[in-house]
Amino acid sequence: MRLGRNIVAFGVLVALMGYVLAASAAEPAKVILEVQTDPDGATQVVAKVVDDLGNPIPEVMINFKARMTFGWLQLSEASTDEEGRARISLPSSLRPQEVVAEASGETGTVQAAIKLREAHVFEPAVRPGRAILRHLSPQPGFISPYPDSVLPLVLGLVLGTIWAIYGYVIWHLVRIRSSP
Amino acid sequence: MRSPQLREQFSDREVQLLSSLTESGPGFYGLVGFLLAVIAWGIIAYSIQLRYGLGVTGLRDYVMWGVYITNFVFFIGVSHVGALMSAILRITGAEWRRPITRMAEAITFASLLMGALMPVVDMGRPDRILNVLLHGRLPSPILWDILSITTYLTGSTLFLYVPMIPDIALLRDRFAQGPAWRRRLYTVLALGWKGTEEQRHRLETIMAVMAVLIIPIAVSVHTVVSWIFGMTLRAGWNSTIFGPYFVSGALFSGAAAVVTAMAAFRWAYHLEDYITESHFRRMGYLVIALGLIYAYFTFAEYLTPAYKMATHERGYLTAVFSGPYARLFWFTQIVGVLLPVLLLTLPRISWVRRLGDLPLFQPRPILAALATATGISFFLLISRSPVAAVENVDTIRTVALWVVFALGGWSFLGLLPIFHTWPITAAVVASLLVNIGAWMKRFVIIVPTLENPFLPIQNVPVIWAIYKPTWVEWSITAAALAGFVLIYLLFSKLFPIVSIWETREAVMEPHTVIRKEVSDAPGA
Repeated sequence: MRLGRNIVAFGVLVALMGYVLAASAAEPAKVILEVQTDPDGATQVVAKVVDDLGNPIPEVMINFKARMTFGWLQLSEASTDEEGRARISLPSSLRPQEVVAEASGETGTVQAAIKLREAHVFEPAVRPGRAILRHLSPQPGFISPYPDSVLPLVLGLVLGTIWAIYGYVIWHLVRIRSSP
Repeated sequence: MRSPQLREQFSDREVQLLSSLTESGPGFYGLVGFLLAVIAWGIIAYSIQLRYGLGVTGLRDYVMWGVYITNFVFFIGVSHVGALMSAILRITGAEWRRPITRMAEAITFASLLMGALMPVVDMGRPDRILNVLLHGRLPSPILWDILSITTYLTGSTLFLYVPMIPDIALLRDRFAQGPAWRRRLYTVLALGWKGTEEQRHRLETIMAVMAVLIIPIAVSVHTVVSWIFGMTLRAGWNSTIFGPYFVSGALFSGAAAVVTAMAAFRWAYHLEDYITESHFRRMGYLVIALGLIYAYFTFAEYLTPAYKMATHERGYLTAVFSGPYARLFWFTQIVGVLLPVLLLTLPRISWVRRLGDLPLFQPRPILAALATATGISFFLLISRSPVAAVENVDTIRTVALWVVFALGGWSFLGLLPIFHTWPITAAVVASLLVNIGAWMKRFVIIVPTLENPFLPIQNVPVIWAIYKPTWVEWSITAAALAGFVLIYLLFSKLFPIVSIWETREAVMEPHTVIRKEVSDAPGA
């Protein structure tokens, strides 16, 4: 009888330990980020979530963020599949410097980051080229530090004519003063 | 005070025209003292802005142009008419313009000085203006603006100065009053004018050249000012007619400013013989014509986007037509355009006089209506209904507003016979309304657009999304206005505000040409 009780108690204890261990094993311990580039230029970002034992954890919500030139951009949220993987696709026009995937569990948040390109800080004295600005600007004719030669020519011609006439007027005023 | 010495040196006509230089009563000193106090207060406000930065203003990341740029556009607009009107009237040989052209030209000079200051104030740190000059890019309309305003200021100063030379020579030769520096100033500015044939010929050449040249320059200046807005893709500014729209608005407000100046000098220096009712009538016609052109441009400017209601313009248009800026917008259209045009037009109609015979339009009912309308307006201004905030509906306030409109219309009709009797008063009231409306309209052009950018305003405090000018901005604005009036006043103390030699010619021969005008200059 006592033996039976002991066996039951041991069994309950083992079950409890197993439950605790199983619960702790389901907690995300690590996020592994991978990046693949498709032929069309789109970037596939895959985040794999594993527990302490390295087992994949399904149905974990992953929050993807990207570091852009102007700061952090919230990309999307995706849930992990049976293999513990969550995927998002970045269009080719979006060129983040860094992508971060965050997985939140009961005991905390784990995250992984991967750099996609080096942040390039423009020196104040260096201006981007005309080709870049033409590509970026909706008004390439105006939003450019490199004006076409016609603009200075027109401005110079108009303003030059006006100021030349002012000069002519002032010359007359000088002659009025020097008139006998 | 007209001294016997002055009467010995000048004719009665000249003494009267020089009264602005010789008569300085307590009213003048009181006004100058008041203006200096306002300017001093503005300087204190500006020093606070310099010390603590633009954070002391209502300007933030989204609304970075507010009252200062409103002032800038307003002053540049007012400056428009002086040179332009004077040049056109000179070229077309409109003889009636002689007593008022210098007033108009001086307005250009004073308002340009104040207008040019405003972007520097708006920049926060004034040394940043050097960045525009040192690192400015030719494709930027800001740089175009600096170039065009500099050119216009130079041109309008020459245009103001050149026709003054014979009068300055007159003062140099015969005006013995005042300190020595004043006589030295006249001596320098008179350029040794003796009225010789050669000097007259050269003066005539300069005036002809400048009169033609200043017209395209004046038009281009306000067009370039409009391009600061029009060259962007923003809702409300992305317009092809912003150039002519701004020019028409500038001419309208500028002509009204000239009417105000005419009335002030006529009243202060008793220039009734020179600035007659006929001048007010003609200027009134000009203001009416310019007002109608401006109203047409406004209609065209707003109808096309309002008809289409494009997605990115919807927020802005709603804010202007029925949203937070609706009252201001409709005020500018009704009180700033419609009412002045009616005020200048209706008193000319004969049946208006008979309105005064009707019992409803007797002085007492009209005064009662005015008092009631004022009281309700005051109540509407100071009261904030919590019900309106919660339910977005406030029937009482809406009804009260319509009652104010009705009482206002009644008072207006009742005042018409009075304005019929005193057309100059009507012209002055109309011109003041035009200028108040013009300033507010510039505000409505600038601020609602900035509050409705393409990307929605987000993650900022509410105060960043809604522009509310602070006392610093209002103080600097008041100082700028006081500065404009003070420059104008001091100009009239140094130089005759009505051209002596040009009006002399007009008295002698009404239909003369410029050659004759010059030939009668002092020393001729």
